[in-house]
Amino acid sequence: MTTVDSKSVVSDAAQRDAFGPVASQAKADGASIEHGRSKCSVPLSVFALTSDGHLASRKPVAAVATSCAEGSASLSLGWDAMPAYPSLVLGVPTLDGRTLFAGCVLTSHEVRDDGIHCEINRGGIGEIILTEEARIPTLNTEFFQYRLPCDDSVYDSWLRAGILKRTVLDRVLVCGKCRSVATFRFACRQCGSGRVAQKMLAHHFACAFVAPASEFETAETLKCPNCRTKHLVAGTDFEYMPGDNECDVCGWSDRELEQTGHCLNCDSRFAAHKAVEQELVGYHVERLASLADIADLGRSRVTAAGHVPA
Amino acid sequence: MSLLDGPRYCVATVITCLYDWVCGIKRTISSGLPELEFSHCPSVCAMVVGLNEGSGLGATIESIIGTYPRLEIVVVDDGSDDDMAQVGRAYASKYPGIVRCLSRPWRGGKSSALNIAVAHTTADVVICVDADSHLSQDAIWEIVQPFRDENVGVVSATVSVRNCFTNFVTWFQGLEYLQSIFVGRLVAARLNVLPIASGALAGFRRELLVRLGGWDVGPGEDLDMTVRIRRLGYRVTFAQYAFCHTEAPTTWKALLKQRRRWEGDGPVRHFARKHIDMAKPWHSDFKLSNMLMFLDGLTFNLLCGYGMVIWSVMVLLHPDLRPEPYAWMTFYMISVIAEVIALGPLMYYSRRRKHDAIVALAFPLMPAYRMLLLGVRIFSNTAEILWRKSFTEPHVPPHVRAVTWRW
Ligand SMILES: [Zn+2]
Ligand SMILES: [Zn+2]
Ligand SMILES: [Zn+2]
Repeated sequence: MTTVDSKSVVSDAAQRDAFGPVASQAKADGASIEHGRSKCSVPLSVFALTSDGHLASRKPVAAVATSCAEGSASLSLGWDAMPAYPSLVLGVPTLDGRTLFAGCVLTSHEVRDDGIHCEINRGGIGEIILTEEARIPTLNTEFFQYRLPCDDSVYDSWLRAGILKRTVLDRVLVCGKCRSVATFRFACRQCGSGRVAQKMLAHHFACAFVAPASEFETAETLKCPNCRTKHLVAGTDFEYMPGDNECDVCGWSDRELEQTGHCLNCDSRFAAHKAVEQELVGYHVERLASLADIADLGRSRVTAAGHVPA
Repeated sequence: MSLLDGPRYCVATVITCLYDWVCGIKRTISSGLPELEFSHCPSVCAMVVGLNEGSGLGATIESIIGTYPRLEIVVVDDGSDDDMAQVGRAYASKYPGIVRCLSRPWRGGKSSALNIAVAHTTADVVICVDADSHLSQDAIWEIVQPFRDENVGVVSATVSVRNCFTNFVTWFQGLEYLQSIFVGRLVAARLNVLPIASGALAGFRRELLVRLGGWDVGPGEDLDMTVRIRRLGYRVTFAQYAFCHTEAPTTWKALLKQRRRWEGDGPVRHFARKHIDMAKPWHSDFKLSNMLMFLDGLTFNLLCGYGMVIWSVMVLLHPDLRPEPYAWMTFYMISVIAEVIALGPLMYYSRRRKHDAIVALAFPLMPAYRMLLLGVRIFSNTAEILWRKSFTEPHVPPHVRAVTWRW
């Protein structure tokens, strides 16, 4: 995600539109290293998050990253842009027009002449929601339902802000009553039980007699109960054929079984064609691998603009 | 069915017809009411067994469904290559609880397919229906009525030609079926010498089928089953107005091929060989009616046929024996007159007089048609006597043919 395509040039005007006055004021002067942190000046956007993960505001505030390292960074914000909550999501634009996101927490802030100076660390609820586990529904083993860890409203607010993108990952057949996952198998047409056994029939070629295979079995040999021929050989003298299926539960018997669903949660049984098809919805996001990449993104921006990097 | 078929039943037919006519008048005079028609209603399983009958199956099922209250339909697909199983399953899901479709992965022969169907039903009466034929509205009601009598084991039905007016081939067959089945079987059933219930439409008491272990390997399994039920001491009757409309062959070639198949397995295989014991007076299964049935079958099928052959040979060898041309004419005229006389009972029993009258217009050529069929009969019987031709019929799959007993 941090690979930056230096061939693609993003115009300054486009950048200005996206990130406001701070972005245009930022001096695109590359980066240098000081106290293990890369110095930089990269425009980015900041979303504040409430304690339950909702976005405090749909519009981000603009900020400039002044230095960054693997798990921490310094931001410079406008006077009126102090975040209302300590949990943040940073949106870092790339050269090819994408935005990479990272969850952070505000550790300290200082009011200076040129604005507010903030120290942030990677982590917090924003980072949790950005992890794959929070964005891909998983099967709950108690209720056998596919669920996401947060409320739908959280994802909706992130979706509206353009951080997440909705994707249909798959479709599952679920119980019409409780939306839990069901198992599907060929089962008794009457009660839906899977406890069915197929009876085998035997056909004696010579006399055309057909009966359940068990009637042909005697203690010492296979014998046709109709013409009493003994020592029958399967294939040459007789054949086995599939017979009826018999239900151990309700005693029903028929040739054809029906594909039947059995809900793993509420135990209701229903014909397969009556199952509800549910979309498994997940969310896609482009994540920033490391806060240190912010400096790289700044550098490549300078390169792309024609400057020689320091 | 031979040249002699006309004269053969002529007298008996006319007597039966007159008897029915008098009885009808007597009944009308005494009660003023016709007999109550359908009062017996056992549970019925219609078995539609076939191989590659996907195209006609739907229409056959539709012609059965809804015509009888206690009805189930079992379709057995004997390992078809076409869409028969799919059509059957579609009807099974359209009419759940009424239609069932059983399909086997590979062919096993008609007899075992019928036996599969019997193993899947508990109905009192089992009715075999060919997958390419249509039943008349009351056919099932008509077939089950005779089962009121505990001694009736099999009920034969009328097979009629659906495509009578396609060409001369089907027209002749139309009249032939009317004479030898619609009227002929009525008389045979009255005389208790009816040996066959056509596979196209026939009713059986299921309990007897189970007792006998089902149908034996064919061809001719329908004749064989009827004879075996007779051997158990049950009667074979005829439901004259249970119609099964079937498609007849439309070319001479197809007709002759069909007859060659039908004729061979009848009298020689089943009467003279497999079931000959029941015509022996010292055998436990002996019954006078059964012996008469055998004699009837053997006389008219074998003796008359070969008599004709011997006579022809003699005529060829001894020009002195050759009859005068007018004798041929007389012979033919007598045959035509017998045909005309037989039309009387046909018209008396017919419920579609207009239709049947038009079919009957083929009568002047019928003796010639019957002569042709007699030729086929002699040919098939000879092939059966000498080479047991029916045991090489492709009607039965090779793996079954290889292991079954030869009678
Ligand atoms: Zn059941
Ligand atoms: Zn056997
Ligand atoms: Zn449920």
